[in-house]
Amino acid sequence: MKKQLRWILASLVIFSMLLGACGQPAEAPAAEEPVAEEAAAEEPEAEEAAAEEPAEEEIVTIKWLMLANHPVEDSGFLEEFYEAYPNIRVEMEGTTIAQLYEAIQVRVGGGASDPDVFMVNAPLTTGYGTRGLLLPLGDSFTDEEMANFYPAAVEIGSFGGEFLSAPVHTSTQNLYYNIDMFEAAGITPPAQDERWTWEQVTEAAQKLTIDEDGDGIPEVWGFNFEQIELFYQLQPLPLSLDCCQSISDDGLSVDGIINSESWVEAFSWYGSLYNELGVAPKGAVSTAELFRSGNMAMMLAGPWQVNALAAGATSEEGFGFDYGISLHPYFEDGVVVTPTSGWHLGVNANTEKAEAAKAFVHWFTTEAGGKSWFSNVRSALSAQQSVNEWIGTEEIYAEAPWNYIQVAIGELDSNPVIRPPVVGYLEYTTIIETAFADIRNGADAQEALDLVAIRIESELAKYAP
Amino acid sequence: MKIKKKNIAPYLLLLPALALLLVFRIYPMVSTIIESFYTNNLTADAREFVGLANFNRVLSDPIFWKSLKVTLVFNLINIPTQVGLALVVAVILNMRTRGISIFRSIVMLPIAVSPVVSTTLWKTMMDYNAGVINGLLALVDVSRQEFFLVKEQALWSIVIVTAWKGIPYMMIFFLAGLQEIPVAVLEAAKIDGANAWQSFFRVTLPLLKRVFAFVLVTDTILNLILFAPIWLITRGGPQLSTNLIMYETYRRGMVYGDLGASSAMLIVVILIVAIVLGLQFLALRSDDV
Repeated sequence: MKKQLRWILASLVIFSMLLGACGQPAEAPAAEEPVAEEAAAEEPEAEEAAAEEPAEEEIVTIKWLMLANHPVEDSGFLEEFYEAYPNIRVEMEGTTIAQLYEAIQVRVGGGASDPDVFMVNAPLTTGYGTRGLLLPLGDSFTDEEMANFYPAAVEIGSFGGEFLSAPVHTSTQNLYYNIDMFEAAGITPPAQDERWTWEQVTEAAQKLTIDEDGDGIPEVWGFNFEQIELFYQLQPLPLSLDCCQSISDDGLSVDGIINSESWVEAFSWYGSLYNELGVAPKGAVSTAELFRSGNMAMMLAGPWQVNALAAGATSEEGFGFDYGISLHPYFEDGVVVTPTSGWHLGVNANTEKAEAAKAFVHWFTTEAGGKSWFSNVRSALSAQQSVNEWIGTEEIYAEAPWNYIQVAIGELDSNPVIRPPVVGYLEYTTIIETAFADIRNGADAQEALDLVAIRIESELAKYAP
Repeated sequence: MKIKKKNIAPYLLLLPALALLLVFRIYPMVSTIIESFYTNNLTADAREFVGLANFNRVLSDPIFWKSLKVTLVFNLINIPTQVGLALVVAVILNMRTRGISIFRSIVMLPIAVSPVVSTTLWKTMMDYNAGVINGLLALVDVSRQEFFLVKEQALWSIVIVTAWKGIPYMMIFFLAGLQEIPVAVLEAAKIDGANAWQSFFRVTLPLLKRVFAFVLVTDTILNLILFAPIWLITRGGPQLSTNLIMYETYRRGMVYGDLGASSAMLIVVILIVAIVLGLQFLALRSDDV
């Protein structure tokens, strides 16, 4: 009897240990823990300004969950906001994209009132809207302001007849290339208004890849994508061959679509760049850094690289090479498809500071904020038409390489295809990107896409009516 | 029944611990069980009781079974590796030779490193492009290894990462057990003519049975609910080859917000773990265990 009791007690303790350990996701290194490089959010300037201007008790501080790679701190962006709204202060919490999704899910999805404002990846608006995580913003914007957004941006930021996420960016992608390397290889690069096919890119990349010491690790790589395995950047590849479906109309099925012949063909080509052809590097690399350091001949990258590269190239040190820009490639037997849309801003439905949060979002996504964001923080194209028109009139953007931004603005109309704004977009995109990573690291495209088709449908099944 | 005044003190002393147990162990446990019978239907304000629907959904999900298979394979490799090597190292460290304490300290060093730090270090060291291990392999003309990038190597790489901390941790218990064995018993075996192997297998090992059972159970629990290395390094990939069940459970609940399925998955996993532990107890059962 005593022994039996001991067994029962031991089993209970172990069972309790297991459940206790498993039932506490907060113990895991969850999204709430900022990573080392992510700037935490003490704003000394804000505190100083608060001391100078209105009384402490009148100031409302809102928390903004944002991306750590958007260099807001010390940029002057928030100071311009404080001039317009002296009673509001913004506390930033920087994170990575993957952790942003988890933080929103865990914190906002869990009913927390913090953060008050958070970045929204545009196609996720539908999913967040379905779960009631976003406060409607329609009443914050005038008709004129709404008409100033690109229509596709308003469409993707709306759900259920409500305007739920205000667009910050729109975007596209262009081919950047190192002119000096092209000259050395005897290849004529594409002109600014020229659009190469992927076949031309492949051929040039093979010639531009240089492995001087023959160790199998090239010193100069021919080509790479900037956002190596992001769905945003890679969706145009299969859609160029078979435009333009990435998921079924009801948003629940992908089998026969993402593992169709055209998708397999497109991603077999993608995988070959990293494996059979060896013109692009495997593993975790920064394409933009390789390009800047003269170790990458071509890259497909976003318009935010125009300012970043121009600033480096025209600095005292310079790059030591000239570079050019051309239009987004397409497959020879296919059509032109370009990526579009970008980050939006949403207000937490549970915020206790709705008025201040909405004021921040409104300022940020209308003209004053849009210009300030472009000038001070990130030169991604604005989701506001008037801001992009203003960029064209700025003196600095009249000369190369700064004027490459005009090439990017011009590309906004080249058959831009949004990512599917379906309720299960988060599951869809995070799972399909694992296939892209696997293919890049040598997996068979058909096998990898078949597997993710099963996984995605398994996840989307819960949304079936 | 009246509790005598002098008997209240022990209960009062236990109260803080019980309160913490209630908040951090019992509440999550009960909450998980309740949640497994509900779904929020993933729309606003629509939480409803669904009975066993979440369990049906989980048990008919091919990804759950694939994840379970990966978890079992991982544990079939990892637990014997860790327990076996821990025992070997403990026996070596139990030798009374000069300088053994320095060697012991070095071997035990990984225990002092947090799992997150050690995992990050291994991730960096085994990086395909810039990892020191590939650098060292290049010196001896071995081609770069893809470690966490390909399905053929990823799970084995995780085994290495976890073993680095797991072996010394389990070794401590074996070492303590070995040092508990009276020298007289071993000497008696020697006098009776037992050689070193016979002495180890017929005297030392049987006397380590209690420790062995403890180590096996602890290691099984730790590895069946392993999470940090997967979250920090592979996120279940490549091609689900490291998609251990705890990570799949976390992803369902915390990333995709499907708390009902996640909780049901957790309960199923707990039952499996309980069965495995029960079998281990039975296998190692003896009068003194």
